[in-house]
Amino acid sequence: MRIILIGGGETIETIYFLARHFSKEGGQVTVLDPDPDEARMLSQRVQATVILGDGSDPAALEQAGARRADVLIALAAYDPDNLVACQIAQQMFGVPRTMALVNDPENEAVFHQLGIDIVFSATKIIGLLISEHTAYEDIANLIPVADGRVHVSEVILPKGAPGAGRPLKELGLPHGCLVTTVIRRGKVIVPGGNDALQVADRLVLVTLIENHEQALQILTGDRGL
Amino acid sequence: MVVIDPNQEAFNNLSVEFSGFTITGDAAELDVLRKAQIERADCLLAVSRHDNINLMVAQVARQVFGVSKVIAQVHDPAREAIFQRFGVDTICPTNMVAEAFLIAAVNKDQGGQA
Repeated sequence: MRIILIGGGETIETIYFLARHFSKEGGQVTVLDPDPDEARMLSQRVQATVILGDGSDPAALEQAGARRADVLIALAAYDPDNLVACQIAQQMFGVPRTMALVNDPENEAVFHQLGIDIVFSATKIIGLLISEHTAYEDIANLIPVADGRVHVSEVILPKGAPGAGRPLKELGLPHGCLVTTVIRRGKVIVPGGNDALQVADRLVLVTLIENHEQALQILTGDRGL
Repeated sequence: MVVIDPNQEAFNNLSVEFSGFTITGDAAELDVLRKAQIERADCLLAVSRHDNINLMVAQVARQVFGVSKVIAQVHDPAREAIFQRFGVDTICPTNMVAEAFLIAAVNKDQGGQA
């Protein structure tokens, strides 16, 4: 697979790791970066053809082999640069797949509408991770399943948690929420409704997206951020 | 008339008779365009120094907000050609200046012959 990565701005580390990842998987990677220092650093560190140039300049894209490329991934720091790079790749060089990073989450829909195949918003992804993950300090781990409608999370009951000391069935946990497993001092317990949780228990909790917050509040007392 | 510029000092260049509104911000942000009430605009001219911003703003104005008359300034002739084919109305100052120089040079030649 022939892959062109477009850099520019503060995304050099992303470019570096992606270039390394794709070339390890046998891809033929070409990086186009407008910054001389970044281009030099990349050329020394990755198994890729690195070209000093602007990813939205048709001549530079041609030089990077856009005519034969299978994918172009635009990772520049400024959204308009990524849009134009992808559009030129499609229109002029017929690159079959274009992907772009957007910084303004609103641009995700805009880029789709303007014909970019795959758009990822780093701000949105990080924002989701932060709000789902660290909003509750007692959550050690969280996995969204079923397209994010169900959450499987690992929760540690903090001191003073309202969920400790009373049988599970009396806590008033919302429908569709289940404490599936309790890990207590290294032992695994599958709790029933008459079992009570204890402070420092590690719970594996399954919730629906709509009752996730309520369940956490009942168990840990944490209202989130 | 609404003028959008990321640099507030740029508005000092507007003539004293300018009676429109100014908005400080990046026109490549939907929010900034909405603040300028783009939904109600009949015409948008994207004339920043950066081709990519102009090309993006022009397409957003046209396709997202349905502005009927949209023109983008594109300095790079190669880029201009692609987007013109792609249906974006563009003006390329580089080509215009080159043409003006060519005409001036030809006229001068002819003047010399006379």
